[in-house]
Amino acid sequence: MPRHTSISTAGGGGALDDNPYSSDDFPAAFSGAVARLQVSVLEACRRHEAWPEKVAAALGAAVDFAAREADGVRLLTVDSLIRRPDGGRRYVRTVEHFSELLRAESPPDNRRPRSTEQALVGGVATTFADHARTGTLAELPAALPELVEFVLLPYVGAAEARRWGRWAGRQRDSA
Amino acid sequence: MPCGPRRLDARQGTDIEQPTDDFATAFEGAFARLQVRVEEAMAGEGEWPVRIAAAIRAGLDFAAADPAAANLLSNEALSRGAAGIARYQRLIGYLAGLIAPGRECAAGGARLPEITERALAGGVAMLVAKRLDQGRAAELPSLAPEAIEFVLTPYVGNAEARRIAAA
Repeated sequence: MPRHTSISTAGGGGALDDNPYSSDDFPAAFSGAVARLQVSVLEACRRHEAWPEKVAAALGAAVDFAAREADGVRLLTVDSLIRRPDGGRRYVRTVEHFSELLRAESPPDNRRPRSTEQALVGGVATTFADHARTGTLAELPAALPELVEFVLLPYVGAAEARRWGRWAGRQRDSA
Repeated sequence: MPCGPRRLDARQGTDIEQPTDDFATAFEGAFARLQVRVEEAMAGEGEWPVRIAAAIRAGLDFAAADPAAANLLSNEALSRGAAGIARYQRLIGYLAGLIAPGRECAAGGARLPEITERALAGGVAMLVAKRLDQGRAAELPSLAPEAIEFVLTPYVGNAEARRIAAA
């Protein structure tokens, strides 16, 4: 089997069969998708002051992006890993980038080992990839409270993280 | 006893189709070897947090000792299209299944987000895959304390997770 099998030709079903990017397009398409996601996240964060609100807003922007740009999210979380080594390294750099954003914003007295943010963002990316593979990215916004709770839990504890998750859900419902 | 010793079903996560090519055969062999190491570690004494910590250490030791197998289970599987991804998903599901009994240890365990175990497993797998891709497999055992703390925190809280990770 070719090492760089495109997901669109891999023989899978459903959501895996429909890759709109050729090999030549991949670097530019990946960079463009990262940039659009980053702009969405940063703009959402800027509208909030409190750190947990920023995290919730960032995740809200990310799930909205996923629902709006399914091809882009599939490129970032699924196709990139097929296009090794370049795609895999781009994927890791993207995870590290958002990990650094999360770490930079976290309160110094709540700092965790550096790998925590990478694993949290990797875990969120796993959830996005699960939805991308099953063609259910449009359902991701409904998972926002869970994602917020998952990411905040190591910093603020279970009860507080759950409260922020519910807050994020209410913000979404009222928007 | 909610968090007491519990035997794993040795067949957990292994009910899959027969290998059909070299990659599939190699993946299944590597997966089986990982399962043996992890489940032997989990079969030790102690409650779930201590045993899952031992399993994480065993998994990272396995990856450091056999980076080719670990790479096959992670980076290589993800690069193989639908068939590889399905196998990788099964690996993540298996690891998530090992973590899930932690809910019985947490006061509000039943209320943890549904995504928790897969996201924890996916997060740790990403940390491992990254080091393998960068040729830094030898560093993996030293990642154990941080990985253990990360996995245990939702179930036992920060302080207890840190204590077990440092033990």
